[in-house]
Amino acid sequence: MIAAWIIFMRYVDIYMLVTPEFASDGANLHMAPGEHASHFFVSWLDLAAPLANRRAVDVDVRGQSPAASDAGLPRSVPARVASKLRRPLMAEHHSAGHHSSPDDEYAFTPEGAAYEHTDAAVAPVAKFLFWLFVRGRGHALWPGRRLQADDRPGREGRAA
Amino acid sequence: LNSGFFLARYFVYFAGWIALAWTLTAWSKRQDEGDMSVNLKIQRLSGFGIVFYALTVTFAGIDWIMSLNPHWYSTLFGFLMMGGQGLSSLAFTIIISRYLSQRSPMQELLKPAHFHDLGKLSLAFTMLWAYFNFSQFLLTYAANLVEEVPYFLSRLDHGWQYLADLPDPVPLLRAVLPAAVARQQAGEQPPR
Repeated sequence: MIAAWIIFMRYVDIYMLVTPEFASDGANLHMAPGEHASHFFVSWLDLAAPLANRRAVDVDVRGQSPAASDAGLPRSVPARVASKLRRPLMAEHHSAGHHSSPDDEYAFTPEGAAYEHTDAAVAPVAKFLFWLFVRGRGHALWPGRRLQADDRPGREGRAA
Repeated sequence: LNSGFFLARYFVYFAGWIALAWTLTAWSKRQDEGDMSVNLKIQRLSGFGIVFYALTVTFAGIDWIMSLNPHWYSTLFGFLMMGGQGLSSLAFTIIISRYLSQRSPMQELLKPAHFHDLGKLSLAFTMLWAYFNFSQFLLTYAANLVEEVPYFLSRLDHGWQYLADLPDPVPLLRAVLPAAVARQQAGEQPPR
């Protein structure tokens, strides 16, 4: 029951992330001229889309899992193996979106609020992602090499 | 953020995720049939896949959700997506495991200890997800930047505040209650 509640709350979370950016007629508020405010609404599509995903449970789990488990049960993995195992990007939007500048939506600055400019440098981000990819791949391979050595056929025989 | 590049990324995300899922499922079936030669392949592809997933889910979250408001940005958004998806996956796994545990042949394999472990992991992911969300809110609240606060203000007015209030009983249901149940069940288990 708690798991079902968590999935329901995740749906509410996604709904709260996405829907307040739209008016009830489906228009994106940031592309519309004038004052924008989204009032709470629910579309029938918001309820129909999750129901359309029932195939994953009905077909893939209920239909195939018992057969797949039956086939795999007698020859499951041995315990021995198992144990090892920015802003310039907004130009297009503004040219078509009835905004005269990137910040006209925020022309009014609340009292006490600060303002922050973002000038993202892409090169350090790209270098970090490349480093992350190389390091992640290296770590994933290390235990694999060891497992390969252990699983090599005839290893025990040669050692003897 | 233009239409052509948006669609190209859309294609790369789904092509990569579908290819990973199909390949790993096929190799897993071969492993179940006793073919141990796929072990290294599975580990290699999973190593690449976890990096690919982390990057693509971050870009997908920015493309599909964060770009709906082109003024607002959050450097935490990718982690929010990953934490939320991890939590949903665990909750889905628990429900399906519960269903299969009452039917043969999984009836003999899935024991209460498995559900205890899934519950503990689910609690950890719930706390991680809450941490990510609260971190974002706290920083936005403290900084009070004109570029960031409208995101939360629009979700606290015009009827949306009632949906935002919905999770209020959730700390009790998702953190306190599972922790109490886990403690009770841990007390019932014999010492290992």
